[in-house]
Amino acid sequence: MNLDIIFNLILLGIIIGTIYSLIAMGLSLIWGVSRIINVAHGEFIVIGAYVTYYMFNTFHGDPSLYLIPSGLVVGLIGVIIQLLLYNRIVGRDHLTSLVLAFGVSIVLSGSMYILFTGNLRVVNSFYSEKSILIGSATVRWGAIYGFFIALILILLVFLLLEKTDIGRAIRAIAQDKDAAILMGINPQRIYLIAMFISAFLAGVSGNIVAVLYSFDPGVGESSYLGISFVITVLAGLGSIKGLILAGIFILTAQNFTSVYAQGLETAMGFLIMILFILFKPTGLFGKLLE
Amino acid sequence: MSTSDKNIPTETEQPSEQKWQYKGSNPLYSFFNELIFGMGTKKMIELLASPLGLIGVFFVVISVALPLLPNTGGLLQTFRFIFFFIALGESYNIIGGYGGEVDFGHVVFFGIGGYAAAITYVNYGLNLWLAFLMGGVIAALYGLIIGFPILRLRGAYFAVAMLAIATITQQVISYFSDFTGGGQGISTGKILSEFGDIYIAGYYLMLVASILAFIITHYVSYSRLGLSLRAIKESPEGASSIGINVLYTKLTAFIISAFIAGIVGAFNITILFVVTPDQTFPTALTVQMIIITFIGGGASVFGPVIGAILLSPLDVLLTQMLAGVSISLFGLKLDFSSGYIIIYGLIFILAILYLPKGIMGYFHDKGWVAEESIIDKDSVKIGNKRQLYPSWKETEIAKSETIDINKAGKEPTIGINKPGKEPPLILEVLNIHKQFGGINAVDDVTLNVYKNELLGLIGPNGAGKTTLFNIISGYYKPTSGTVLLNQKVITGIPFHKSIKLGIARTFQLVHVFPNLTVMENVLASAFNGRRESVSYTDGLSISVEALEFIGLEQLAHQKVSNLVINEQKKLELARVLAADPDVILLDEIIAGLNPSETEELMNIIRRIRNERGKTIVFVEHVMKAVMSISDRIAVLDLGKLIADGSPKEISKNAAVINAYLGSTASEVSKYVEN
Repeated sequence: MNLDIIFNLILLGIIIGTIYSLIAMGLSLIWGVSRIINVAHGEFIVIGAYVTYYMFNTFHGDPSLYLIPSGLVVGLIGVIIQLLLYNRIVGRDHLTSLVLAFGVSIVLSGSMYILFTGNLRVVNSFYSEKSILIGSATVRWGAIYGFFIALILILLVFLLLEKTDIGRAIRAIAQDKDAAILMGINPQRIYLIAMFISAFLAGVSGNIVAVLYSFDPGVGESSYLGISFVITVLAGLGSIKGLILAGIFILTAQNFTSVYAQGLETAMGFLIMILFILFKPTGLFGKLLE
Repeated sequence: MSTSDKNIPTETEQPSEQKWQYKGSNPLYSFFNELIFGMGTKKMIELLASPLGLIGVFFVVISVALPLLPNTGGLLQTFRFIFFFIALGESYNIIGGYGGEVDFGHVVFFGIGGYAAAITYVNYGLNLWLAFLMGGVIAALYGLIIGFPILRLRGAYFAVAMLAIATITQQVISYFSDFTGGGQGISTGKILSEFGDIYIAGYYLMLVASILAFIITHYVSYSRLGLSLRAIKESPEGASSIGINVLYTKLTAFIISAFIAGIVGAFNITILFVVTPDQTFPTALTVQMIIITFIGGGASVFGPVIGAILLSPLDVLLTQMLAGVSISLFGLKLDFSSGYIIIYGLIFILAILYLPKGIMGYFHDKGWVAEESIIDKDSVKIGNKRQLYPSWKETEIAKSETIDINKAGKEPTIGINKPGKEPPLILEVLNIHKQFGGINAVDDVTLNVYKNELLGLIGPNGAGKTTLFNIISGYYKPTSGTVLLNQKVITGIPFHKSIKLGIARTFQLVHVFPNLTVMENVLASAFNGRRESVSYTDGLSISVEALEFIGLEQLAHQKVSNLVINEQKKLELARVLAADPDVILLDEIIAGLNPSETEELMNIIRRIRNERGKTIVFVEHVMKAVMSISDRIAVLDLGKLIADGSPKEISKNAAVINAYLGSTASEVSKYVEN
């Protein structure tokens, strides 16, 4: 394998990996804060992609215009689901939230099949059609777009969590719910805010996914949920630095796998995840949560 | 005191009056005896004679006759679907219901079974029936291999790891196409020559699979395995503490579950013309297994049956009804063909919110259907006083040995300080160190425990008392040092084995199994404790005897969740007794009890020592109780042993007062004494 190919694989690993860090971020956040393992995260992303798709087909223009609307629509859906469902099972054993989210995922993907059919959709724009040459690597503009959006959003979430009162309250609930309640933090309110942020991030990720790849209602579960788990586990809950490194590491590993053993990329990601769960369940930087 | 000498049972005293004695039995004989003549068979016969059983038999007869009737094609398909999901639901039920896990990748065993059967039958020309069997066996083997690491995980990590396993397996099978045909799959057209009509053959095979799955699950539920599984589901720590090997128990269940799914997968290739990764590992199948088991009711043999009977026809019906149905709305053309999955999902969500134990769980709660239990209430005789140690003379002890905890610091009645008698050592703790990060939780502690003594272990919070217990019982490995039991090194033994060697422990917070009955709690301990190969009847006798000793026999068939806290603590003691250890470690057992409850429990503890000849080490903060009951007291402070002596000595020890009250206090006490 020559150096050029290695360079390309790593470069793409960094660019796409950062995007996947954003994709996984919503799952990681809600898992760490509310202890909800939101199996419907993949569907949240796909809903974001459909919002971008339909807005783009109706209003045209640049797909980046629909970034925030996608985030808001999915954020709203997340809030509704939190109020309607997840809030009702607070205090039940942690597997209940897992199966409930699983039910939500089924209903959301089923609804999307009815609303949007199972046809593959693409957002045909400048981003998906034009490429740029970096060194010897051909990178689509969509990837560059997604990379920068992901970087900006990850930075914003970092600032939100570290520098604002809301962020401090979120981290307090994540670290020690009971102590945080004693300090006067209302956990229900924090769960709602965390869910909004998580779903917003999923919606924004959906915008990037729509710009970059083709999609149908099924890809949420088949393409984005699994990898989000892999990155979340690898990063360790509560570590943004871990998310970025894990995203880049996994995508690079998958890129190399695709050269040596095409068809085993997803398996490779999952294998790394299982090894981490077994031997280093705290991930790269985070802490273990039940 | 002279009375206490009389009350200690000695080897010679016991057998003379004994009506019943535990002998132990051949484990292999026990296993088959219980399988054939045990509760599983008894309950199966009862079931077949009940109205429900008759309906079941009727259903099976109809099912057998159905293909012989004309024009039943559609009905056949619906029935086959029901059988298919009963079998897969039962498979999932064993690990997901009884085992209490969520398994997002259970379809993997179905897939492995299908591939194993197809490969052995098509590529190696094996007899079809043997190939079916291979499907089950190889799936079970696969369960063993992946279960060994993966079953150590809990909760969400297990669920996600199984999802990963399913995806990895599917991709690897596609990748090694020389062997598996890759994405093209393996053509199984050869099966056509085996049967006249493969659809009818497939129908009967699924019928057989569902009956087989039902029977296997029934026998698992009414077995020791079922009891252990339910105990683990309630509290893995509690289960380990009474000697249940959590990993091996789950692994056994996993293998049985994988076998059933493998057989179903193997039978299923009959109606497939080609076995491909997509058809053999459909993710949707895991979804359906989970939903059917959940809605019908996990941890109940009838759960998946009800789930499959309700949901599978609904599935077929809705798919037919909604096929091609579409409406236009705001320019969107809505195609409802796949609408059934939404209805499925909505039913599932409603069930989670309003019927969290499923339909069978609701019936159990209402008392309409009895919960499955290895214990038959009617056959357990309580109040017969079949005792292991009949030398216990109730009234005499009640009079002489009731302790007055106000008389703190009285002379020890038994143990090391008795003049002229060198008591034998039972437990030796030598130079134990335990570090957490940079902190010495236990710092070079050496402590001897003598046979039959009541040793109190005290110290301020964070002194390392519980850590020391955790090290002795194998819950933690020490950083350095040795623990000897009867002169044998036991340092770092696995926690669940400590009881087998003779060390039992209770936890600061009770680790009972709330959804099991009192008797089931104790029976699980009798089966898995120190006594080897306890037969079923012996297990019942041991449990009844332990409950009577503690005074809980009237609550034997109550659910533990109905018990108040001091009853739960007594239950922990009964459970410990049933396990028959030599040394009992009690971690703050009277914490949270009122004075009269404390006194009652202290009496029981003393009786366990006096009448059962046990050695008891207990951590306690209630000084009155410690002072009154202990023969000897050891004091830990900041991980170090700072004092060791009789209650009288300890109460005057300057270092101890210092540790508890600070240096000024000890100055003051010196002052006062002078």
